[in-house]
Amino acid sequence: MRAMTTVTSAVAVAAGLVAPAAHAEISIGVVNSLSGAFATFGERYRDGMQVALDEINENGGIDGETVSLVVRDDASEARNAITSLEELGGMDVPLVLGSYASSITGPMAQIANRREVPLVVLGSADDAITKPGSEWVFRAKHNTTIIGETYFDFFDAMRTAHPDTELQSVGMLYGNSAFPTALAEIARSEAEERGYEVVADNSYDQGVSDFRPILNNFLSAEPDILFLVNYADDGIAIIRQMAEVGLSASIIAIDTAAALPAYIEQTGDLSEYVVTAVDWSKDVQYEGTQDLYERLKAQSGAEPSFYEAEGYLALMVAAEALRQAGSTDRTEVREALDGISDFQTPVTSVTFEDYDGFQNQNPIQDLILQIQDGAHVTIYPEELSAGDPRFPVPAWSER
Amino acid sequence: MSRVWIIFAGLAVLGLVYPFAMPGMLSVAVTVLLFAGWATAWDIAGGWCGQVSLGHAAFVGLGAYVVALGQVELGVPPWFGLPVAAALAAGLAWCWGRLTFSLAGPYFTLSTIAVAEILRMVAINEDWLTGGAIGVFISTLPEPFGIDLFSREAQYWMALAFALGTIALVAILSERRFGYRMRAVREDENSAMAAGIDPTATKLHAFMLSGALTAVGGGIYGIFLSYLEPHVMFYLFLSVQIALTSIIGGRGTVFGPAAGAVLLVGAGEIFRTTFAQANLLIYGILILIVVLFFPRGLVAELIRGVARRRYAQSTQGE
Repeated sequence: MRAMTTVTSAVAVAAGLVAPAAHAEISIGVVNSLSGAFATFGERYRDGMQVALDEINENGGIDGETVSLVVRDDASEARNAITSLEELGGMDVPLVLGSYASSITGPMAQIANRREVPLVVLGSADDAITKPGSEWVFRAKHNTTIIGETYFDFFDAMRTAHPDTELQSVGMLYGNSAFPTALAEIARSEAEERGYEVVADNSYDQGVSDFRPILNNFLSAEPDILFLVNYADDGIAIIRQMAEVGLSASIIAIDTAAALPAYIEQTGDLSEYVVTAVDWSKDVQYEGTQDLYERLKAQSGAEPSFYEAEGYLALMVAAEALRQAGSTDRTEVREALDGISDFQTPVTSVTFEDYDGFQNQNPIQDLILQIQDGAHVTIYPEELSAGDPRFPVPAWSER
Repeated sequence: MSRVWIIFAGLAVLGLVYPFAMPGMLSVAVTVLLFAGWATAWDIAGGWCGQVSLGHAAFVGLGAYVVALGQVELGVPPWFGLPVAAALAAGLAWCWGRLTFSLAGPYFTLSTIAVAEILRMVAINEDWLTGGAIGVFISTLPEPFGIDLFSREAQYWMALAFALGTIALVAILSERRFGYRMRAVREDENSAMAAGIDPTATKLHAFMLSGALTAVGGGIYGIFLSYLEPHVMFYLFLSVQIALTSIIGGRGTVFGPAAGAVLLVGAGEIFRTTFAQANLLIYGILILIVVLFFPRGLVAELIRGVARRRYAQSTQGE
């Protein structure tokens, strides 16, 4: 596939030299983490973008011109992403998509702004990317604030629906890298604003594997809501050890880790009742979701997650902007992105807005999924849900 | 002029011409130059003085954070931030060395990992000082004489000055008394002591110099990335990369570490763009080949080969 992209882009460059522009291809730059620490995520974004690329080209490309991707691997390191973005900046690409981690996307956003290259964020949810942001950086997917607010909207909804069950105290446990810390910070302020009490608040170093001492402390704090932000390995260890020490709560929310299909496979019954926030799910009640799910699944050969959907979304937005701009001039593409409003995709609708200090951020509706009978089921918001919340979570001994 | 300075002049000319020859490839060059400087600085302690550190990311992080926080929080421009960073790094190296130079061999190396980890933890947890886990953004920099420090050209010249300055310093030291002292301590501390050399003071001075120079590179790296996160700046793998660059290129040689930087960063860049996902695997194989067939490092093996051939010629001639 890679070789093909290289060949097609080489052909595109050659064609641009000898043939009139009308026959040229449009090349979109991509900086993605295909090797190194974030490769698991990068591969999912790659699959999502491939599905979008096939769809765009099957429907006649952009104004009859075929679209191709010029992909650069950042090997999960910021300095490589910077190098790649500058290389793409010097090539004939109207805009660039990238990357996953905030520590990589942050520097990219700064350079995109300085070099005036339109950047559509692929995976990073860090608020700082679009707050204050810049006029050259656009994000269709969710940010940390949206994620945090969605969890608390859901907690509020459960409070209203079940007034007899106490939902007052929150226990927070999160990794100490940038995203989990930022999400915990949002959660802390949301809790205060909405009248919840944080009774336990712990971070841990990525790479720790024994959480029992912390979990035992949580046991004595007896939180009604457990709010956890974990990555893949630590997330699995934590839920296993929670069952061991008998720590449960009326709501168990686990961000990031619990959204991955592999989480259910690796934790089995232990993951039942866990809720997690995402910006897309296979059963959300949008038009075309089922069809997109099938295509993502066929492309990746496994159960897709919202990461594939975010990859798909980023490229669809880029294509829409190119279509509206009717040009590959970067300033015109930037203006077209800025003007995107109510653009419908099977992932979400996209409008780039400036609000609450954010710039060029799509105020996307996040969803709460619950793991029910070994599958992710959308349970919130009600109008988009595919099932009812199972509430409260029973104690481990009563499962 | 000795051979070392002829090669140095050649490198300097190459460095001066490069941005005009390859204006589109400046970012890679900045990375190569930073690694060349770091590896050369590492080599002062690790190669010349025999004190292998796997914690040099601590100095990189310290330099980057001092320059970034000085700018963002206090409005101190980088040209003041860099010397402050170097002084703080020297101070850190002094304390660190005082505590750990009584430890021999691998124990010193292990302690360096611990110190870098401690600094990482401080950067993560002391939000009031470092911006915590979320990190620091450098959004504005002063423009001395209208030079935009965010531009790659400006960063290239800073990195070039850093790399050439470090190499020049090592070239000078290698011929001075301090250079011989370091080598004596590396080969045998007891014999060095018998010859009237204070091994602890020599090691301390080497380590302080190494740390201070690394921090200067770290400050430039911070400007280059313009976004610092503790997990990136104090990354154990960065420490390993710096040490590896020097070891592969040739420890205890003037140009070895720089050659290592060109090979490792250059190869890493080519592999990344041509082999896609397999790039780290191939990178690993390259390192394995060098370690197996050039155990002293590329430049050290080269020098040894030349020296042996000369010796062979001179004995045949008799």
